[in-house]
This record gives sequence, C-alpha cells and structure tokens, in this order.
Amino acid sequence: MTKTITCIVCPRGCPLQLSDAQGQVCVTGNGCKRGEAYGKQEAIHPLRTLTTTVCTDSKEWPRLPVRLSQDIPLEQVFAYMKALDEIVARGCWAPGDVVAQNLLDAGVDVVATGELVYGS
Amino acid sequence: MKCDVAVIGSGPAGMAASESASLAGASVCLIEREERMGGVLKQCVHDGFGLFRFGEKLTGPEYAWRYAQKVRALPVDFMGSTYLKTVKKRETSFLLELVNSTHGVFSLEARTLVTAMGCRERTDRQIFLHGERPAGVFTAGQAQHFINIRGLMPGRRCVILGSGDIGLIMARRLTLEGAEVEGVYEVGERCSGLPRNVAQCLEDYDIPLHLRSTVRTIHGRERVEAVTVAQLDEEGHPLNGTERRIECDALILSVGLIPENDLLAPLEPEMDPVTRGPVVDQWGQTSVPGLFSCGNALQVYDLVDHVSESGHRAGKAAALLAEQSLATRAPRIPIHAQDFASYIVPQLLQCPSSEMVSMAFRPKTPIEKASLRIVQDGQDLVCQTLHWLRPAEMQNLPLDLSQANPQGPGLEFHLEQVMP
Ligand SMILES: Cc1cc2nc3c(=O)[nH]c(=O)nc-3n(C[C@H](O)[C@H](O)[C@H](O)COP(=O)(O)OP(=O)(O)OC[C@H]3O[C@@H](n4cnc5c(N)ncnc54)[C@H](O)[C@@H]3O)c2cc1C
Ligand code: SF4
Repeated sequence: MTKTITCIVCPRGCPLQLSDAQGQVCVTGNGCKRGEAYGKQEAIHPLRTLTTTVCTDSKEWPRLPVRLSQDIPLEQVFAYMKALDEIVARGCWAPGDVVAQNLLDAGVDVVATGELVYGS
Repeated sequence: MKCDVAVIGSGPAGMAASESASLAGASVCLIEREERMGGVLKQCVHDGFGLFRFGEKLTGPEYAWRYAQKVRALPVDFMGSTYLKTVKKRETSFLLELVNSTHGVFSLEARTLVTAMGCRERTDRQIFLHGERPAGVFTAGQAQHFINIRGLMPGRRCVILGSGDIGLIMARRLTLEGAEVEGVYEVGERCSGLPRNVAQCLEDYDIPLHLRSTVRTIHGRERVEAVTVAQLDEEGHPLNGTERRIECDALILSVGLIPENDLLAPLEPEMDPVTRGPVVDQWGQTSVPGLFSCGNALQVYDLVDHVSESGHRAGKAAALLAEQSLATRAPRIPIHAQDFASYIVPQLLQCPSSEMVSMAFRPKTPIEKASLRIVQDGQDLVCQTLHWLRPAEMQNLPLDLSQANPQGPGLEFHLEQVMP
C-alpha cells in the first residue's frame, strides 16, 4: 500500500510516498535525507514539535513563548497543552531557560523561546 | 540629532541592516514604534524560522532574540517607542520627524535612510463582504497578537477566510488554545500557503480547506453571530444552492499582505505595481539616492532568512554610501520580468556587479520544469533549469551578472515552461 504525505521538515514540503516493502517502510520523493527519516517516523508514530505560550506574573507581558524540549506524539498534543495551562512563569526569562521540568512525567521540559525583562 | 544611517523598523530586516551598517563603521540610529526589537517575529511563536541562516528550526522569538543580541552588542542607538512621522529629502541627507514620550516631536538628520517598516495585512475593507461590521472580525495577525502577546482569545468558534500561511498557522493555534475552527475558505483554486502548513496545521487537526469558496455575508450587529459561505464557479460567481450559514463568533482574515511604504510617498520613489514596494537595485537602493528598502517593506517574503539577507545588503550599502565610497550615480540598467515570472526583485542592476546578485521572483502558475534565462541584447548571461516552482514559494537565487554591459540595453528575465 502506498500513501502520500507532505514532508514538514523544511519549507520545500516534498511530497513523500510511503510504501510497505516486506515489513519495511520505504520512502521516496524526499529531496534530502531528513525527509526519509521523517517519512519513516510518520509511518510508525507521528511526532510533532509543540510551541506555545505560558502565563507569566507580568501585567505588561502576560505570555511567555515556550517550546517543549523534545518532539511529542501527535495524539498527546492536547494533553500537553492542558499541562502547560497550569504553569506560571515568574520573573525574568531568556530563550533557552527551562521554565518547568518533566511534563506529564515523560521527561519533557518546557523551554523559554522568548525574552521577558521586567520594566523594559 | 545626526547619524550616518537611520534604520526605520526593528524587525528582522531592520536589525540586520543596523548590524551590517554598524559593522561597516557607520553611526546608526534604529527607530522602532514598539517598545521591543523584533517586529512581527515576537508574535510568531511557532517554529520553522532560520533553517537557512542558522541551520536550526527556531521559533520567531528565538530568531528575533539572536539578532537583537547582535545589535545590542554594537554601538547602535536603539530608540524604542519612537514613531517616524515624516521624512524629507535634503541635498545630501534625510530629515526625519520623530515622536516619542521622552522628547515629544524631534528631528534626526541621517545621511542615508534604510526603510524596513514591514507590511500590513489586508483587511475586510479591502475585500468585498456583505453585511454589518460587527466586532469579531480580525486579521490573522491581529488574532496572533491577541493570543500570543496578550493572552486573549479572539473567539470560540472561528471561520478563516483566505489560505495564506498566517491563516493556516492561526487555524492550528486557535485549535490548540481550545477554539473550534470550522474551516478555511479560499477563493482561489489553490491554497496560497505552503503545503507543509496545510499538512501540519490543517490535516493534523482535521480542519477542512474549502477551495473556490468564500464568505458572502457576515451576520450579527454587535458581535459576529454567523457567516454565510458559498462555493464559486470558474468565473468567481457564487453557485446557486451552495450557500451555507455557519454559526460562529469570529471571522479571521488571511487575505494578503501589503508592503508598508506610505511614509515614503513625499520622496516619490519609483514603485513596482506588482510587489507594491519601491523599485530597487541589488543593494536595495531605490530611485531616490540614499534611500534603501529591505524586508517586507520591499516585497512580501515567505522566509525570514531572506528578509535578514536583504537587510544585510541594504545596511552595508547604506553605510558605504554614507561614507561616499559607493558611487551614487553608478550606471543602473533595468531588468524586466517576462513570460511566467510575475515579478522580479531587484528591478535594477547597478554595474559593474562583481558580487553575486540575489534575485527574487515568483512564477505566475505552478511549473514542473522551467528554464530561466537572463538575456541582454540577444546574449544569454544566465541559463538555468529549475524544478517545481510554485507561486506560494518565492525563489531566491544567487546569480552571476558580472558580464552585463553597463552601456547596453536592459536585461530580460525569461522564465519559460519546459516540457518535462
Ligand atoms: C502577522 C504576520 C505574521 C507572520 N508570520 C510569519 C511566519 O509565521 N513565518 C514567516 O516566515 N513569516 C511570517 N510573516 C512574514 C514576516 O513578516 C517576515 O518573515 C518578517 O518578519 C518581516 O520582517 P520585516 O523586518 O520586514 O518586518 P516586521 O517584522 O514587520 O518589522 C517591521 C517593524 O517596523 C516597525 N515600524 C513600522 N512603521 C514604523 C514607523 N512609522 N515608525 C517606527 N517603526 C515602524 C514595526 O513596529 C515593526 O517592528 C508574518 C507577517 C505578518 C504581518
Ligand atoms: S525531504 Fe528534505 S528537502 Fe524535502 S521537505 Fe523534507 S527536509 Fe525539506
């Protein structure tokens, strides 16, 4: 069985054909190596990068942009969003700072992507 | 106040221009109407920025921060919360009228001027919609600002009109934050956003994309209560019997971006009717000597990496010109887009051009295999084969135009379809 998906790794968005060759996933149509890895992972278990914002204690800048430290299963995106709702980032932040650790006990951290400086 | 180079706007284009101008030895003032540097990137919390420039998938705020750190390390005079009101051209300088809360209205004299004011979004007033104008109609960028900067939801059940990338990104963002996105409606026969955004923003969340469809009417007086959508025929007329009323409390528009150049009007730079930015040479210099343009103010880019590049070029050239080491009156020859190229930037070539010239263009329709030729006086200067061109994807190619004859006629930029 062949399935066509769009590679989301870079803006080129190559159409990837995933086919099953004796239990092995075979990827064609990829413009580079990363597309092959993406296609294989997608056939087994789709993973996504989750970026969002969390609440802060600043009146002026009420949201801090964040990302998760690793890609998470697509079907768990909403569970992570719910866990992120509980977080309040207090004080000043710079990109790369760890805002919270071990979300959903899955070893995934919440990392700041934006800057938050008080009084600036 | 005086400086060599004034840069207006501190988005990725303005930050790159300030960095390059400062590194080239110029004194630089960077003027920004918002408090913080970064421009629209600050609200683009999704990732996919900087793959070419930094070799990493960064989010908008991360990309902005990296550049802001570079600018802060240099003697660039950053003036935040400062608005450019008017620009006047003098013999050898520009006189800017600025306003902020510390100095009130004040003036700044700059030898050269780099404009990097970004773009604005088309609104419902610029597209044709029936009905009232109740609260609840937002551009995708406004919705993005509300959610990502202010932490406010624009609506609970949303309809998106237009399939630009920002609209697709917002479809996902709204869904993640608990809103329901009923669907994305696109007038054209193709999605105007990138295929990857259709995959990761719509398909991942089962949000339908309706092509050749539009919103006909907005219902509600105080607040949006519903919209009526309809399918369109080949000519763009609504098809009888396809009208459908959708209950919703917000309509999000992602119907295009327009370069922000209104303030330049008194200087009368020559404008390109297709890009809606000024006509420039490969350094971003407009028809007004000393006036440079870069980033989305010059043309609407899809990738921030290319925005930064255009800023670097303009900033460096503006610094050199402020020092008079770049001849203002170097000969410039026009470049004309032909055949399947809807436009090209730069539209002028300053000669001699010893460095590679970065040429941006879009095809008018999707082309599987294309031949690109740049011709002067019947002679091919460049001849290349390109694959998989799409109107939604800007091409940005470094080309060698060193053989162009400064005394010769204009260059023709031919993009032709080749049978694969
Ligand atoms: C809402 C929106 C969302 C976008 N999302 C994406 C995305 O997800 N991915 C992507 O690759 N691209 C996105 N883009 C395209 C994005 O704009 C460019 O990639 C890039 O940010 C453009 O950079 P810029 O420096 O040209 O403009 P901007 O980042 O818009 O910066 C312009 C700056 O000029 C300032 N300014 C304007 N007028 C004045 C004035 N008169 N006086 C003082 N300051 C002034 C503004 O405040 C702003 O800070 C988006 C664009 C918009 C409008
Ligand atoms: S296969 Fe490679 S080139 Fe094609 S979209 Fe994926 S990452 Fe980009």
